[in-house]
Amino acid sequence: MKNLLLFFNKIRFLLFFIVLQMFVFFLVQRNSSFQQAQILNSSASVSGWLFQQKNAVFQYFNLRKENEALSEQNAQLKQEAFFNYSIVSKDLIQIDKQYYSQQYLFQPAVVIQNSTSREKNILTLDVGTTKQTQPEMGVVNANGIVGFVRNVSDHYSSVMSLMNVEFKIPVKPLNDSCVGTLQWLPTDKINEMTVKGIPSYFSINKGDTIITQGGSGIFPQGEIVGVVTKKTPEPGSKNQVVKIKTAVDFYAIHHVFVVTNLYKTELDSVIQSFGQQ
Amino acid sequence: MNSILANSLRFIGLVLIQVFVINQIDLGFLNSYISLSVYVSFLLTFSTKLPKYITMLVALGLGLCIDMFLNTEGIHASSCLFLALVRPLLLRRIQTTNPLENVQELTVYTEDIQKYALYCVMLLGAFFFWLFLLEEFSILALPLILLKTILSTIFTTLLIIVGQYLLYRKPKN
Repeated sequence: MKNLLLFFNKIRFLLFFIVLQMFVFFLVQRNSSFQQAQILNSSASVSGWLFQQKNAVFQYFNLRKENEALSEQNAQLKQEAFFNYSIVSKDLIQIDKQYYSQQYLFQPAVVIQNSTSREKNILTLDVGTTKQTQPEMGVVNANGIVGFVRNVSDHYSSVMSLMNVEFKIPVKPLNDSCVGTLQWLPTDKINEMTVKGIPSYFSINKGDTIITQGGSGIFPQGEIVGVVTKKTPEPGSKNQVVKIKTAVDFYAIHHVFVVTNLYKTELDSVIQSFGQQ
Repeated sequence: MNSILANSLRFIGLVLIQVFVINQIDLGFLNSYISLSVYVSFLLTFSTKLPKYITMLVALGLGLCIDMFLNTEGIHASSCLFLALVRPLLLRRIQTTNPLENVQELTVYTEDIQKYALYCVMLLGAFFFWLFLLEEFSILALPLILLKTILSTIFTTLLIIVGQYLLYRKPKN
């Protein structure tokens, strides 16, 4: 007994180290589940506030690019405006409100921190629970999809960017019905992604547009993901590997929209009730 | 009292420099191989007079701060703790010829440069090895982990030593 106590006394520094390591592990454990209190991420108030101060200075450097993008978007919206279309026949153009109900809401947000140098890149936005932002909401900008919300605090939220090796969603080509998995491999460069799992007999050409499938309810159907740059057969399977260039430039994202799916609870409950049967 | 204030300022300063300056550096294709962790300099220069348990708690706080900013899920905190575990073992070796009991902080000026560089390389090597091991979390990636460790250790050591020559004042004897 005495020897045992002496032994513990001898390695007490090591024991202290192990206890602290377990404490860190416990924090990470809490952090990784969605609903728990968030301690270790940049949506935490202090770091969020600091990133916002930094953004207040650095946003001026991108103003030119931002203005061009916004005016381009304005022009596009103007083109699509109702009054630009001449009436062909009254029956054709009339939109009966009863047949349409809005499913997706878009809320503007600003990216206050962005990383492109790591394997798990994460963005921080300046919206949080006070503006009804919830985890698992999609994030898009004028050009295409950006990522989805992982963690939220009162005023900030952290977003898993497409440039993250853990990111996976189903996507499909614009003119075809086949579905593949969009992911960012560690070997991919920034603004470059890979679609896997599309069978070889579907012909996909360079320059085809890849869009979201919309099945998971995070993004609306038909949001642009990117354009095909290369396709190669996957060795040892009947599928092909498609490389795409993302529509969004991840080196320069500033203004984005958070997508709220108004039917989300309904969709979830349907999926859940199927699982329970 | 004065040293607590100085250390707190250095702590905050190093965290801010790490997050807003060093982490914004774009190294091109080397980005995934080199991680410049200059904030560790705080633990390298930390007073040797204080008990090692305090050093370890400070290391935990520093690591958690960096994790909070970089969204790295505790791996920096864990690596800092490992560094704090190895440091007393290494200090015992260094202390044999030159009694460091009355040294407030360990910089290039309080030590002979070769010995200090060796001290930095060994501690940072241990730190980065633990960091990349946790990041990859696979023993199959060992060659990659070692490559990353070596590159990061060399560049961070250079940056820290040059930084100390620039920022610390030579003590008057």
